[in-house]
Amino acid sequence: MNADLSVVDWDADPEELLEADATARRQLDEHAQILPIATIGAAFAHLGGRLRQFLGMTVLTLLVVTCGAAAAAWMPRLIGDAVDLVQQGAGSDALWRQGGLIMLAGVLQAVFSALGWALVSGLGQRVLAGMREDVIDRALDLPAQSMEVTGIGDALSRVADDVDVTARAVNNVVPNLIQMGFYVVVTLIGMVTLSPWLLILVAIVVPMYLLSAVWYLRQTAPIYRRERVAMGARAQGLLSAIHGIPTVHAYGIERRETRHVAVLSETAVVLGMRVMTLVTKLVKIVVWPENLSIALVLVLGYAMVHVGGAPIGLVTAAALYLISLLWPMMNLIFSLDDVQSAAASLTRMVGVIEAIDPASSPGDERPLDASISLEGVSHAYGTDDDGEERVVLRPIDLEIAPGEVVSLVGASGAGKSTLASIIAGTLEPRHGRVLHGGADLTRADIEAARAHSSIVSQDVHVFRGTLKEDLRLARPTATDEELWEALQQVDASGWAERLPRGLDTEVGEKGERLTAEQSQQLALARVALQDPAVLVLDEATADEGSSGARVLERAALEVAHGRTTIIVAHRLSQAMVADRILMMADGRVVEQGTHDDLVARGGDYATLWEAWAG
Amino acid sequence: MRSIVRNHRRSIPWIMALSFVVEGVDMLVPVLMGLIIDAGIVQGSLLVTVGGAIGIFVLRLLSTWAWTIMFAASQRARMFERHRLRVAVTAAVLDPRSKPIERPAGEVLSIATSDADKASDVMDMLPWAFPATTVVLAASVWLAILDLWLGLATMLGIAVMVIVVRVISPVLSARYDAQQSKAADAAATATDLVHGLRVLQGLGVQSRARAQYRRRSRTALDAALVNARFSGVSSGLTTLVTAAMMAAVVIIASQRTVAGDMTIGTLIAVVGVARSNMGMLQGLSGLPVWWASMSTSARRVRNLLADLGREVDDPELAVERLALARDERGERSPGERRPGTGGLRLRGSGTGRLRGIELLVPDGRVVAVACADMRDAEALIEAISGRTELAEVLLGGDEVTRENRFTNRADLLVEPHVVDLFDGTLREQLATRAPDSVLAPPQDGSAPDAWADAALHAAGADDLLRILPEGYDTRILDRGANLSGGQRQRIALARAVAADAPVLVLHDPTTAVDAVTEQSIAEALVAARQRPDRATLLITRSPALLRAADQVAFVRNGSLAGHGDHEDLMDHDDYRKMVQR
Repeated sequence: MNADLSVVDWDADPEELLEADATARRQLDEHAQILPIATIGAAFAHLGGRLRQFLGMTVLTLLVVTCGAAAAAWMPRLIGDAVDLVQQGAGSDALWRQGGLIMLAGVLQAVFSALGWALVSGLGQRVLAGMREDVIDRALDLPAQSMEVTGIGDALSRVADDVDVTARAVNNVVPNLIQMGFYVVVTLIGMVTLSPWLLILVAIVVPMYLLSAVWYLRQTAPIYRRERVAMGARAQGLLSAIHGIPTVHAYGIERRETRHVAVLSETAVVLGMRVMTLVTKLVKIVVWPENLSIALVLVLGYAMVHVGGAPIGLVTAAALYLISLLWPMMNLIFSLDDVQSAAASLTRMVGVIEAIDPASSPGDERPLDASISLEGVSHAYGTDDDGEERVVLRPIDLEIAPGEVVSLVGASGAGKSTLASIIAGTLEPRHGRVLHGGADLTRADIEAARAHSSIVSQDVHVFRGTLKEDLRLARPTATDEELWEALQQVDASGWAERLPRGLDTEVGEKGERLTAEQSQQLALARVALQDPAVLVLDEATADEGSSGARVLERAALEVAHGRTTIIVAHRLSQAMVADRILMMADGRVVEQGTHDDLVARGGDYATLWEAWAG
Repeated sequence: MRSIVRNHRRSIPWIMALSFVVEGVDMLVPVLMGLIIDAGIVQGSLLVTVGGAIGIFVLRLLSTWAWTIMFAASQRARMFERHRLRVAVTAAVLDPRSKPIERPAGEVLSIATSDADKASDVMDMLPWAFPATTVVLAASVWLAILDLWLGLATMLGIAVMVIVVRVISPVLSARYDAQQSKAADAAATATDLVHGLRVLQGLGVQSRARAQYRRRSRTALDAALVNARFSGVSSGLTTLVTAAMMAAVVIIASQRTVAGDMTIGTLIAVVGVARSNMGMLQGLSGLPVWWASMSTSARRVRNLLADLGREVDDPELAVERLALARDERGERSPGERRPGTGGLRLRGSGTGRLRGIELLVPDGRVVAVACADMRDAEALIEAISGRTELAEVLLGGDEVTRENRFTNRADLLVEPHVVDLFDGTLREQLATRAPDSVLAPPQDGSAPDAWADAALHAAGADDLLRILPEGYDTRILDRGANLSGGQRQRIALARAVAADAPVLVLHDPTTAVDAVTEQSIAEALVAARQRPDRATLLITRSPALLRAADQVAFVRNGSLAGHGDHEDLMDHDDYRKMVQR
C-alpha cells in the first residue's frame, strides 16, 4: 500500500489496497446480496415474456431492422456492379442509373435505420418502464421492520443504480447493437451468396470472433461486479461523511473518512484499468481474424477471378463488405461492456421481480372496531450458536379496548418496540395471533388492515416533492383546507404558512430543509389525514428540539384523540396520561395498571417515578 | 479541465503521435486494397496479391500494437484523473479549513462521482478526436488531388454532415437532457420511497406510493419515447448523407475510370476511402455533445471547489496532510495520558443571545447547564465550539477562537447532538478518537476490551453486547442504520467517553433514551468522568442527569437565573416546571 493516495499503483492487487482500510474491505466482502438475483437464463426468459406483451411491436421492430440491414448490405453489391459496368466500359446513362440505385439503397437504409432506432429504443423503454415499476412494487413490500438496512441498501441499489444502468443501455447501446448485429449477420449472408468461395472466409473468421468475445466476457464479468460494489461503497462512504460533517470535524476524522473514500476509489479505478488491459488484449487477439480476412479476401479474390472466372466487381463487393464490417464488429465488441453491465443489472432486477411475490390479501376479514387483542404472541429473531431462538418478546395475552390509551415503559431492550410493531401489524410475530377489531391479521384484507392502524416511530422521513404531495400520500383526495386543518392540528400551520410557497413548497432532500421537529409534526399530520382507528407512537416524540414547549407531545396527543393509542414512552410525563401503563423488562410485562395504581404499589415503576419527580 | 491536461502534458504528445499512426493506417488499408486488386488481381499476378496481403497484415499488426500502447496510456491517464478529482473533492468537502457550503449531499456526491468521471474523459477524447479529424481531412484532400469534382463532392458531404450535426445535436442534447432529468426524477423518487419505507409501511400507504412512482415512471417513459424518435431521425439523416455521398463518389469516379483517367484499383480505393471517411465522420459527429457534457462536468467540479475556497491542485488536500486529531493529541510517548487543561471557563461578556453567563467547569467536576430555551443551549454550544466571535470561552488559559478551534480538538471534544455513526464494527465506533492511553491493553491481564466495556457502561449501553450478534465485531452500518435511535445515541455517547478528552461537552446526550436507561446512564456517566484531570459540561434538561451533576446552572432568556445543585434548584418554580415536563 502506498502512502500517498494520489499516486495510483496500477499493478496493485485490490486486496492489498483494501488492507489500508478495514471498513472498505468489509464493505467489499460483505456487501451481501440480500435480495435474490436471477440467473441470466431466467432474466432473458422474463424479458421474452415482457416482449410478448408487445408482440405486434416486437415483430414490426424485427422486420424493420432486418429490412434496414438488408438495404445496408445491398449497397456494396451495387458498388461492385458499378465496377463491373466500368470494366465493361458502360455508358454514362448506365452509370447514372447505378448511382441512382445506390442512392435508393441509401434512402431505404436511412428510413429503416431511423425507424429501427426509434422502434428498438421505444420498445426497450416500454419494457424497462414496466420492469422498474415492478421492482418498486416489490421493494415497497419488503419487511422493513425486520429486514434491517443491509437489505434496504441492496434494494436501493436495485431501484436506482440498476434501473439507471439498464436505461442508459436501452438509450444508446441496445439500438446500436441490434442494428449492428443484424447488419453483420445480413452482410455475412450477403458475402456467402456473393460467392461460395467467401464461405471459407466466414467459416474461419466468425468462430474466432465468437471465441474471443466469450473469453473476454468471462474475464471481465467478475471484475465488473467488484468494481460496481466498490463504486457503491464509495458513494455511500462519501454520503455518510458529508451527512456527518459535524461529527467528522468534532472528532477530527477527516483524514480517516477521506482515506476510506480514496481507498475505495483507487480500488475501483484499478479494477477499471484491469478491464481496459483486457480490452487491449482482446483487440490484440481480434486483429488476427481481421487481418486474416483482409488477406483472404485478396487471395480468394485472385482465385475467384482467375480460377472461378468471376468479374472484378464481385471482388470489389467482397472487399467493401469486409471494410464495412470491420468497424461494426469492433463496435459490437466494445459495446460488450455495456451489454454486460446491463445484463448484470437485468438479473438483479428480475431477481427481485420474480422471487418476491407481490403483496396480496391473505384473507378478507375486516376490522370491525378499534379494539386489539393479542393471543399467545411471542417473538424471536434468528437463532444463536446453540440453536436457541433469541427471544425478544415472551408469550403475552393482551386485550386493548377501543379508544384506550396504553403506554409501554421499560429499559431499552425490554421489548417495547417489538411489542409496538406487532400491535401495529407491521411486524408479524413468530407465534400467536393478533386481532384488530376481531380480524386476524394473517387472514385480513390487506388494504383494510393497513388503513386500520398506523405506527409513527423516531424514523422520520420527508418525501421529496411539494409539501402537498407529501401529505397527500396519506390521503390523495384531500383538499387544501383539509391539509391545513391537519397541519393546524399538529401545530405546524405556523411554519408551514411561512414557507415560501406554502403547501406548494418543495420539501425533502431537494427542497426546504425541515427540522427534526417539523418532520415529526409532518409525520403526525399524515396520520391525522390517514385517520386510522389504531395509532402506535413508538418514541415518536423522543427527540424534541427547540423551545421545550412540548409541541410534539401535544401534537401527538391531539392526533391520538379518539383513537386506540399505544405509546412507547420515553418520558414519564407521557406515560402518566395513559389509561394503562405496561412496565416491561426482559421481553415480558412485569407491572400493569394506571399511574396511581403503580405508584401506590411501590414496584419498579414507583422507584422510577420517585427518581424522576424527586 | 486545464489542470487535467497540464497534468499529462508530457504524455499527450506521444499518445497523439501514436494515434496519428493508428488512424492513418486505418484510412490507408482501403487504398492499399485497391492498389493490390489493381496490380495483383486485375493484372493476374499471384505474387503481388499474396505479397500485398501479407503487407497489409503486417502493417495492421504494427498499427494495432501502437494502438494498444496508446490506448493503455490514455486510459491510465483517464482513470488516474477520475481518482485524483474524486479524492480532491472529498478531501476539500471534509477538510474543516474549507469554507462551509450549502449544497445537498446528493449533489456533492454526483460531482465527486459522475462529474469527476466525465471531466476525465478528456483524456479519452483528446488522443482520438484530433488525429481522426486530421486523417479525415487528409483523405478528402487526396480525393481532391485525384479529381477536383471528387474532392468537392467529399468536401460537400463533410460540410452537410457538419451542418446536420450542428443542427441536430443541440436539439438532440436538449431532448436527451430533458429525458435524463425525467429519468433522474423517477430514480430519485424510487430511492426516496425506499428510504422512507418504514414510514410508508407505518402508515400503510404502500399502494399510494406505488401509484406516485408509476406516474413519475410514465412521465419518464414519455420523454424517453420522444427522445427515441429524435435519435432515430438523427441516425437516419447521417445515414442519408453518407449514402448520398457514396452515390456521388461512385458516379464521378466511375465516369472518370470509364474515361480512362483512373484505374479500376484506384476506383476501388476511392470508394473504400470514401466509405471509411463517412464511418469516421459519423464517429466524430458525436464530438460536440460529448465535449459539451465534459466541459459542463469539469466546470461543476471547479465551481464546487471554488465554493469551498479550494483548488484541485492544492497540496493541502493530499490525504496525509489532512489533520487528524489523534496526531495532534501530543502523546509524547505511546500510552501516555493526555494531561488535564485546567477546565473550561465562560468569562461572561456574552454574545448574541447569551448575556453575562459566567461559568466555570473545573477539572474533576461534572457541571450541568439547564437551558429553559433550547436556543440558548445551541448558542452556548456555538460559543464553546469557537464558531461565535468574542465569546470569551477559555480552554485552560487560552481563548477558543475561530482560528484555533480545530487545533484544540485534542483537548476539547464537543459531541454534536445529532448522532452520526460511520460504517465500522462496534469496536471501531468506540475507538474513533480513543487515544492509545485508553486503547492500550490493561497491565493486570484483564480483558483487552476492558476500555470498551467501560465506555459502554458509562453510556448505559451494556445491553448492546448481548443484543448484537457478534459483540464488538458486529458491523454497525452507516448512520447506525441497523440500530434504533436510542442505541445510536448511546453508542455515540460511549464513543465520546472513550475519547477521554480532557474537556468533554455533551449536548442533550439522552433524548432518545427511555427513563429507566437514562437513570443508569446518569450515574455511570458521571462516575466515569469524575476524574481529577477531566472536566465535563452537560447541556441538558434531563432530571436524571441534572441530579447526578456536581453543580447545575439554570439559564433563562440568555442569562443565568439560578445556580446550585439539582435539589436546591427544584425550589425554583421555573426550573421545576422545565424539568418535569
